[in-house]
Amino acid sequence: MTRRAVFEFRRVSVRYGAHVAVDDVSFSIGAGEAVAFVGPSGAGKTSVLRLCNRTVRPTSGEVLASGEDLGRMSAAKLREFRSRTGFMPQDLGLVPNLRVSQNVFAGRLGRRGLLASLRPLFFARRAELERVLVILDRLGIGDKLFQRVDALSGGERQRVALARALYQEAQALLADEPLSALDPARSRETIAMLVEVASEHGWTLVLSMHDIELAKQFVPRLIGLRAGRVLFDRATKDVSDEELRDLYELEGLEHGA
Amino acid sequence: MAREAAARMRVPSRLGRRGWLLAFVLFAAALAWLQLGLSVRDAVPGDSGRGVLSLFVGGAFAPALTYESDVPEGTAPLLVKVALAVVRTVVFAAAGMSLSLVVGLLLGFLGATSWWADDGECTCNAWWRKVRCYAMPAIYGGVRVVIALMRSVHELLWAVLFLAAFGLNSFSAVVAIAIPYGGTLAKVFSEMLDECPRDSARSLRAIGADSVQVFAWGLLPRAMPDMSAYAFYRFECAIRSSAVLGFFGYPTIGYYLKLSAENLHYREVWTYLYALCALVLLFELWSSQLRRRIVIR
Repeated sequence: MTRRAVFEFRRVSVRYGAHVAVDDVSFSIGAGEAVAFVGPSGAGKTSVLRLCNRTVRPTSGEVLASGEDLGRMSAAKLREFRSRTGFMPQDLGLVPNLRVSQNVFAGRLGRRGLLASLRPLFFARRAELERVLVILDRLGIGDKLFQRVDALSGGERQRVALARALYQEAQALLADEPLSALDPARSRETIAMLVEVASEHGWTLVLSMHDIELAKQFVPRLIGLRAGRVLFDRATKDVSDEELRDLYELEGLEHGA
Repeated sequence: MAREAAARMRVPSRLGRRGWLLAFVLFAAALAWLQLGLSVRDAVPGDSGRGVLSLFVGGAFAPALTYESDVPEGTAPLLVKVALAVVRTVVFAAAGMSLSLVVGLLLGFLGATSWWADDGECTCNAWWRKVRCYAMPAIYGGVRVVIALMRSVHELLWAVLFLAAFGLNSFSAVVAIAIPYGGTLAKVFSEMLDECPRDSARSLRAIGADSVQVFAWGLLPRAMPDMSAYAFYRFECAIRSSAVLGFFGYPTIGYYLKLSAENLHYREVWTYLYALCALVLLFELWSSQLRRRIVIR
C-alpha cells in the first residue's frame, strides 16, 4: 500500500491534570480508509478523534495530517485544514433553532469570508438551496429542508450533521459515537449510510463506536482502545473474539494494567 | 455502623451560608425602617390629604371623557389629545429603543467573551496571540466599564443633563433614553451570549469557522429567543420612561398628566393612566404572541 497517511499519530499522549486520557498512541490512517475506534467508555476514543482536528492538543507526541504537523500549523493553515475535515461531535453541534438548510450552509463557513458567510443565513441563493436539497434527498430527508432542527428526531438530526459534512465537501469525516442517540434499527441504518456515503466520496472515515457488533459488521478496520492505549489495530476480519473480550473485560480496569 | 450511616447522612450545614444571608437581609430591612422612622401612621393621610385622596380615588371609577373645565374654542377633544399623547409616547420610546438596540448589540458583542474564547486551541502566530492575550481582554474590560457607566445614570438624570445642553428637543429625550437602555441591553445581551450553550459554536470552530462567524452562526441564533424577549420587555420599560419624560415638558403622556394633576383634574389624570395601562397591555399581548412564534414555533 502506497497510500499517503491522512492522519498519523506518533507516540501521542494527552493528560488532563493527573488523568491520562491517551497514552503513547501511534497509528496511521490512509486516504479513503474507514476506521473505527472501539473500546469501553473512558478509553480515550473521543480524545483521539479530537486530536485529529486539533480541538484537543497532545501533551506529548505529534499528530500529522497529510504529513504536516497539526501542532505547528498556522491559524490560516489550520482553518483551511479544518474546512476540509468534517466533524460530527457526539452532540452533533447543530444549531437547534436554525433551519436544516441554514445548518447545512454552515458547513462552508471555513472557506468563506465574513460577509459571504453571513449572506446564506438570511438570503440563500437558489443554486445553493438546490445543492443542499440534492444532498438532503440523497440522505432521505429532502422534505425537511426548511424545518427547524429542534423539531427533528435523533436520526434526522444525524442526517443533517452528515449533510453538513457533505455540503462542506470534506475529504475526511470524524464522527464521535454517531450512533449513541439512536435505537438499534436506526443505528444499523445510519452506520450503513455513513460508510456508504464515505466510500462514494472517497472520504477518510474515522469513527468512534462502542457498539462492537455494528463496528465489526460495517467497518473494515478496528483500533481497540482501552485506558488510553491501543490494544489492537488490525483489519476487522483478523480481530479475534479473545481480543474483543479483553477490550471490554471489567477486571483489568479496576486494578490497572 | 449505625453511627457511621448517621454521619454520612448528616446534612452539610443546617443554617449555613444561606441562613446567614437571610438573617442579614432581615436585619438590614429592619435597620432601614428604623432609620427612616417609618410607621403605619404615615399611611393615614391628613385632613386636606384625605380630600385629595377621595378625589383621586373617585376619579378612578369615572375617568374623564371630556375636559373637566372650559377650554378655548378649537381645542381638540380630550380623547383625541389622549390618543395623540399615546402615539407620541410610543414614538419617543421607539426612537430611543432603536438607537439603544444598535448600541446594545454592538457593545453586547464586544462585552461578551464567548466568541473569542479559545477552545483549547491556540494559534502559533505570535502577533495574533498577542491580540488574543492583551487586546481582546482590554477591549472587553473597557466595554464593560463603559456599559456600567451608561447604566449607572438613570434616563431621567440624563434627560436633565441633555435638556440643559440641547434644550427641549426630541433629540435630547431620545438620547436620554438610548444611553441607559443601550447600556442595560449591552450588559444583558453579552451575558446571554456568554451563557448560551457552546456546543454548536465549538463544532463550527472545528470545521474552520473563525471567531466572528462562530458568533454569527453558532452563538447569536441560540441566544436570539432570550435576547428578543428581553428587548421586548425593555421596549415596555422605554414606553414608561418616555411617558415620565413628559414631566420635563416633552409632549408625551407625562406632560398632560402633570398638567391635569396640577389643575386637580383627577378624572383626566385617570384617563391618561388608563391609556398608559391599555398601551402596556396591548404591547404585552403583541410581544407575547411574537415570543410564542420565536420560542415555541
